[in-house]
Amino acid sequence: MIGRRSAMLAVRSLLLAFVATLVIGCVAARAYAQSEEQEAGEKIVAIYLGAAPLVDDVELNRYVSLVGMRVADQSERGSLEWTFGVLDSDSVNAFSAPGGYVLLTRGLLALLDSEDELAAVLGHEVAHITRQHHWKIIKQQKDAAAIVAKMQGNMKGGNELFTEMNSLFSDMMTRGLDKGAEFEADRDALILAANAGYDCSAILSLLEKLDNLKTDSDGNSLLFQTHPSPAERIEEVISVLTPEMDACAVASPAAQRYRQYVHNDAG
Amino acid sequence: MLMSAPSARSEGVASVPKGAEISIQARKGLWAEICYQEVCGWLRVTAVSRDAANNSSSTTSLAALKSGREGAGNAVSSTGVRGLDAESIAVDQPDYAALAELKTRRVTGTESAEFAADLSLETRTFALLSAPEPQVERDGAAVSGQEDPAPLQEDTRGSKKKRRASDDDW
Repeated sequence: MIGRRSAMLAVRSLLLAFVATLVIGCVAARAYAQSEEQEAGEKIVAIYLGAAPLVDDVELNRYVSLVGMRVADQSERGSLEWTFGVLDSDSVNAFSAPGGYVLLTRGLLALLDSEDELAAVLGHEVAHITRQHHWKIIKQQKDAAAIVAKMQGNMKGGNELFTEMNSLFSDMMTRGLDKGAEFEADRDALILAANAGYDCSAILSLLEKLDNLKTDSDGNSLLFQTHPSPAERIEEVISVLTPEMDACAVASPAAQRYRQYVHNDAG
Repeated sequence: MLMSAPSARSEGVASVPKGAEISIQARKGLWAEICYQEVCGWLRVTAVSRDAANNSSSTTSLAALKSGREGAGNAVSSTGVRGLDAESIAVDQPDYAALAELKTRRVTGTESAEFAADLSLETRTFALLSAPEPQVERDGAAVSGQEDPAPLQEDTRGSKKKRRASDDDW
């Protein structure tokens, strides 16, 4: 009898150990995948930072980060280690990189008029990250490169693969994503900003401002090269609006705070 | 744009086309004083080659073009003055020191929540939107606004003026 009970206990312990290993394995695999994603994001961010420095104005950067975190908190991936930076560039643009990195330029901040519009920009970039738009492409290419390397009998050294990945990053950064991903990020931006308490129509005033920019100016060519036209984006956003959104199409109490933080600085 | 001082907030004094021949006079911080067609001013050093910026002698030979084309003789090219174009992304070296600095600028969710609470930002619960579908199906799209929209519709009527002409379709 005692022997049977011992055997049952042993089996139960084994089962528990097996389940625990599975759970720990899944958690570890998820953490590994997330760190891999963040690592790729960091490489991309370092490339952007090589092209344009961060603003010296730490307070301005902090303001953008506080608004960014508020917006990111509304996403499915609020627990990511979100990082927001302002680039010291006159160009009008914003970027995201896998793992929670969002960069936007001082030129873009100068163009905006309110925290509501800022939230729309940040929502768009946060959406690229939560939807893993860039990461899915990188992952696919990474896997393909690994297969090729294997087929070639690992003839390629780590350095060559690294160079290939860097080249993929800069290609993706300068060619942009497909239109569908950009439209999806606009739709998410509208909702993320709305849920964070901001004016959900600010995405439209933002796109209207972009529409008024000169597409051929040196500083803004990258923006237009990597995104569908603002007019097309406006149409897409309008096409998904519903009457219920009247509830969020109202200037937030924070709309004016923007001037204090940004326009004083930007002159 | 050539700036009057080594600051992006200074006045623009002239525009410098991409690939233009310029001469470097001095460097201050991350800015290079350059002259282009008799006009002198300041450009970001990222818009000119590193070799050129390190060259201490003024108006002398300058090195490789930032665009990746080798500079012949004394010429150097600007890459577009704003330093953030496809070319600079493709050519510039990654800056890992700046990445480390960026990470120190992170804020916490708690700080952000307090900042939002300062102005009583209302948290809403709209569901994410799907891609647009044909009109008939779109009318049935689910958007779960939690609030009673009626009084707010009244309050926001005035703001519709800012929207585009298709307001009536909303």
